[in-house]
Amino acid sequence: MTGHYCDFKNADVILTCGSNNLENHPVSSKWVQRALDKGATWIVVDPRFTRTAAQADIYCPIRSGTDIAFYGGLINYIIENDLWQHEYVLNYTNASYLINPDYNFDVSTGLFSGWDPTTKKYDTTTWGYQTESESTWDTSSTGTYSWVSQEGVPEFTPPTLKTPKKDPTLEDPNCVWQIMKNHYSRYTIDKVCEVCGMDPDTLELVYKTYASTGDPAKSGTILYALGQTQHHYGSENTRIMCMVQLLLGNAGMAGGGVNALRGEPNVQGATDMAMMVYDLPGYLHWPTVASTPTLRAWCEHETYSDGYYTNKPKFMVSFLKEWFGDNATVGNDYGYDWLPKVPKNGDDYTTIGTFELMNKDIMKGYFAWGQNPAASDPNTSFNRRAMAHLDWLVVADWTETATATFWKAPDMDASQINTEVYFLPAALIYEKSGTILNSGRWLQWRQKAVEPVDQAKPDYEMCDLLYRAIADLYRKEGGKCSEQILNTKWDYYVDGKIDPRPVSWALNGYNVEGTDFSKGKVSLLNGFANLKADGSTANGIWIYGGYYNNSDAPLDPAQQPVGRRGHDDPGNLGLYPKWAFSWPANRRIIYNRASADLRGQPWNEDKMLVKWDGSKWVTNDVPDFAANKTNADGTTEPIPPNNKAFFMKWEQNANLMTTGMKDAPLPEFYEPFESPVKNTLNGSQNSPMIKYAENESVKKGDASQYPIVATTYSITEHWQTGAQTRMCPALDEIAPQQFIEMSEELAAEKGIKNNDDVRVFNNRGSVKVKALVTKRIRPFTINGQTVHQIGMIHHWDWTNMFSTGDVVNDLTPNVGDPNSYIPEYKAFLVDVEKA
Amino acid sequence: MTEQAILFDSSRCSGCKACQVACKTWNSLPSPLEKNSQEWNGSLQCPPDLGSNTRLIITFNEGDNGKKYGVNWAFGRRSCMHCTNAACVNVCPSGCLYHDEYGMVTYDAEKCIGCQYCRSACPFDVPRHKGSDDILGGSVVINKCTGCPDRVAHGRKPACVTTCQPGALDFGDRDDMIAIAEERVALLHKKGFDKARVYGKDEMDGCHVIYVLKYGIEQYELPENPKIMGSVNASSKVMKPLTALGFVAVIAGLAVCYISGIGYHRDTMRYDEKKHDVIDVDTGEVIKHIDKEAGER
Amino acid sequence: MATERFIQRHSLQTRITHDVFVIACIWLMISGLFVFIPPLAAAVPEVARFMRITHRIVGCVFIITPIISAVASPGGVKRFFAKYFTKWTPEDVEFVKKFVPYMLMPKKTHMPDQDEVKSGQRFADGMLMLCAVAMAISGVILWLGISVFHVSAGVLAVQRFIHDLFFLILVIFTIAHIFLGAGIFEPYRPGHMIGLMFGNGQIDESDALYHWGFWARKEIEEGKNIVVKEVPDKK
Repeated sequence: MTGHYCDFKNADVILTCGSNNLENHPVSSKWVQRALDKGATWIVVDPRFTRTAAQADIYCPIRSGTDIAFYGGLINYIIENDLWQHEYVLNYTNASYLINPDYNFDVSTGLFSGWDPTTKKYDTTTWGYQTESESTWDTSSTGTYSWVSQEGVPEFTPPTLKTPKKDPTLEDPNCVWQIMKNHYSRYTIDKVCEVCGMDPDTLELVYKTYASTGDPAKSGTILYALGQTQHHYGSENTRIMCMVQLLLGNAGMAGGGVNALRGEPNVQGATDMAMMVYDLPGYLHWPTVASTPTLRAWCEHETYSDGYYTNKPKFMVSFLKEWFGDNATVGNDYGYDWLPKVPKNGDDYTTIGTFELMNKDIMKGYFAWGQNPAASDPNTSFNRRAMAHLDWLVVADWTETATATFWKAPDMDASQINTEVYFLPAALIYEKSGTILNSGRWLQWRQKAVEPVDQAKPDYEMCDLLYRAIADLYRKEGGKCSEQILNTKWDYYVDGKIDPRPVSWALNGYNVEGTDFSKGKVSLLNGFANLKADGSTANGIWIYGGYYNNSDAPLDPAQQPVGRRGHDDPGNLGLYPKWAFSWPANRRIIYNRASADLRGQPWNEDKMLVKWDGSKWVTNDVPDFAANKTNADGTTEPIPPNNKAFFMKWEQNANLMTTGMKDAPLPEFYEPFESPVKNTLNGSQNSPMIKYAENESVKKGDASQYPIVATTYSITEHWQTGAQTRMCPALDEIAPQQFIEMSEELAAEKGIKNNDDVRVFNNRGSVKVKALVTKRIRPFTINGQTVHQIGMIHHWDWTNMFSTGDVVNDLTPNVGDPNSYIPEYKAFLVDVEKA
Repeated sequence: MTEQAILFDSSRCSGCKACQVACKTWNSLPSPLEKNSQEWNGSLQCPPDLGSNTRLIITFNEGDNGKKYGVNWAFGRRSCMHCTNAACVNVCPSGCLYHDEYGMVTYDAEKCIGCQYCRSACPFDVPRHKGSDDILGGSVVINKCTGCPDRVAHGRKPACVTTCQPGALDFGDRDDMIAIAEERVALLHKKGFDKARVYGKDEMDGCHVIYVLKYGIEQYELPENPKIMGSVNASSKVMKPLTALGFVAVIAGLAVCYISGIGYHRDTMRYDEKKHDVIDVDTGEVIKHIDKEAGER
Repeated sequence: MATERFIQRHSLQTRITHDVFVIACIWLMISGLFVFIPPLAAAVPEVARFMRITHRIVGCVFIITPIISAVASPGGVKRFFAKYFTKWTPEDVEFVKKFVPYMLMPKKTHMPDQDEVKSGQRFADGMLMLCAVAMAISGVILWLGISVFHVSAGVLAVQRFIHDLFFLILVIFTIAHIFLGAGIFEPYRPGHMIGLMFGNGQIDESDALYHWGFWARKEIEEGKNIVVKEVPDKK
């Protein structure tokens, strides 16, 4: 989230799209209700009339997977009706920037310029800006970037700042504004309705209501979740929401922003911690063979020419310093070479790719740690067959999951499987201490409530045992690449026992001098602004800097920012800055500079986050911009307002158009991988860069065989594969049965009655579930043809003591997004029959 | 102590059923443990009704909204209404059910004799009984919402209220809850929910559970005009005194008869079946002659 | 040695049926009181719970006993109905008219001869039987309605009222029945009234002539049910 849960109450309009926030994020309901009490309007756009929709002011149906058409239409509506926030867009976004004249989008092929048909990738050069002027960093002792030339800093050539050409009139045909306007002019209301399946009146009401937040004083928030992201263009779905929020001036506002509702409270934390193949902790990029094989290359490739990411070498060196400790020196590039590099076929090592590697007998061992791919990943029956190729499988989980028992699945023959499976019982969240990180980026400390059951252990204890055993073997027997294991710093002990508190010191960051973990001594850094690139500081994840910074009580989380429990609420905006800690730097609302105009005056005084009083910044939230500067003599002085509202971008302006995505500079609509209709917005049925679609295991289904659109979703009563919630009899009692939701029309067509057993099937699998026939689902009319959609919950498998069912993910296609590699769970084709 | 009440605002309820789980957890009410034994009835309303171990359910009803999309999806609440004029308390033969100091209808399970009169008397069909399922039902004991007096006594709210994230449930002074409910209904009327109303304010002389109903009452499993059935009052208010009276009267009457009969003497008789004479045994005197020919018997 | 004549009025089966029924009825009344009188149940909940279970078990006895008896002796049922549902004679009417004066002034009131079952007795026993049937039916509905069929609250409430109402009537007629039948009322005491149901079922000639003149004379004339016993001479 760019905001946080409590901030929903400040919204004037709430748009829930691609999320069932009331059901699946119950705490969100509390804050949405407060907004409604103050007169806000709530819009829900969803293929199903959900429990969330039941409480909303406006409900608009949408065919699964057509969000870009919906938002593209909204952008067109905002531009056509002049509802965008002029001062904001002109100054805080790249609307006025001029783009390479060779940029082009070909509607007939659905391809942007730069497409290479052999590699099936884009060269993004033509998506970039025209350069006005170039300048280099001043690294002299009095210069802004003097730190680069200090002793201990790895050598690298600083980037050149290429100041883009701009046209403040927005009339140049090559400016972002004109390109965008032209691009979305095809997304008319009628066209959108034809693609998405709602009626024009409803759509226009939604557009009109949401676009009303283009009023500078008003803010609108978008709540989304996996309904937006789990598509093979899920990242573009997210980006187009950002564009809408920028056009309406909602990003950075209290009650605005783009708010991803994460599931389990630590999903956000897991994402922060380098969950993805190409990520380092804190969203830095993992070294790759192709572009960053050395530390120098990394610094040159990754460091931005302007904005806050000019500091990236500081984050990287501090990270290496924490990773390898005293073994990291400037002489050995702080151990950079010991970090494994992502190979050129890195995409093969993502979740979907992993199972292909198993199937090809390339990957022989697998750790499933807190995940359940035999039930939760797409095309799970293929995954299970692939797992049978493994020599060994380790599952660390709370309960005996489907993955731990994949060989027991009804479609598996255990006598033919030689995989050795190890199960490590893990402690529940209530059985261990540590931090939890919610969707609003709040880090909160939790104390252990009870001891783990039997032999269950906290994850960090398992890690510790594993590391020590592995390091021991390397020490005794040697082996390939032993340095990166043996040079790793591993001293997170209190009284000889592995402990999350020293880990917190490492994550927060500390001065190397004055710190000795083994003696319990640590000189904690105040925040990430103190990080240095000369090896004098260490930090495991730069964005967490400041969350655990009280060196006076390093063993007492209650005396750390992460343990704060203050109720102060400056501005009465629900910011609660003294409750726990919100990364980065305790900022509650990211991009908060954009909540005020060019002169630093809030767009709405009642929603004041920051304000320039003529001589200094008055703040309710921690400024997410350069508000002060430190002079050479150590004194600080305020920086008067300017247009640098998005200082995490090198332009320091938000990107309406970007080179940052692999698949498009502007989000463009493509049909889901399996779709019952043709794409009528451009000539490419699917995104040209769809991942894994060529794999044999995918077994694409055709609309002539499988005419029904299916989407998967969760219900509030269960969590994910139900491994944990189906172990709670009270939860089984309130939701005992896997079902699909279907319209009365489809039910009549198929001769199905409510509560009948039905079979849902496609090329990948077949599952037996119950039918819930309801008026809440209605057929769509797409391009003049009737399209039926069903919703499938997915919380069951063959395991568990109290309730079992078929694995719905046997049906979902294992294709993914080229940016995030997320699978397309939310739109695929099936057929249904009475069982 | 001032009267307290639970407020349920159906227009804020998200139907998540966390209150059902919280109720079970706090009150140690078990759920079925046998694998896949829980019945499903094609609805999100699970379990479909109150039961021996279920004191609270959220009801789901899909009504026509007259619009192109969606339905009027009513989330209702079914549990004890904690009536002022409580039929269950009136009918309870063992003094098990009673009003606590907050006005909530609670019970002393020790005193329950398992007669289940309360269930049949309740106009909301709320009380259930748990215990052995044998047909004799000898060991069943009432199980219904108590308003969590064990929590309220310690300044906490009932378990269902505490767990409610959307703020659909609240607990406090009854007057305050009614004020909130009425304000909310006024707002709902303004938003176009014409049938929205407060329920429980005057019903049963005032319930200690106040509902804000977003849609028409027909979409909630609630009676329009809940009343204590005449026969319940007849039993408790008429039949018992009348029976006592009848008992006393008949004993008294017979006592008079008894006294008047003291010292009664009757002669021993015998019947001569040949002469058809009834004869006094002691005197040999014929008391009566049966004239068979005249048809006497 | 002199002899005295007795009439065999009730068979063994009749007596057993009646007596079991009486015990059941009294037990049901007592156990029912634990539901009917709240303070009683509240004072001793454990006892009340036990009473509640026995109320149901004994209720079964109460219902089943007459049914078994009827099945065992269909002829008896026929005779039973014949003597209870018979035409009212002028003496029957006279009996009813004189009943209250008799009860209050037994010494001065002379009752007319009666058939096998007195008219007043027919009415009183009839009420007892009606009450028994009503109690049995409403009781069964209350029991199975709650535990098996889960009938609506309205049905249960109505049944409860019926159960209560007939309990009232039953109490009145039972007391009266005991008062007369057990010979507490002195005019009814000389013979062996209580023995009719709790003894050998025989009644001596004199008592029979007093209570049921028509019937006694008919029995003696027919002689079929007459038992002659030797008795010691009176002084």
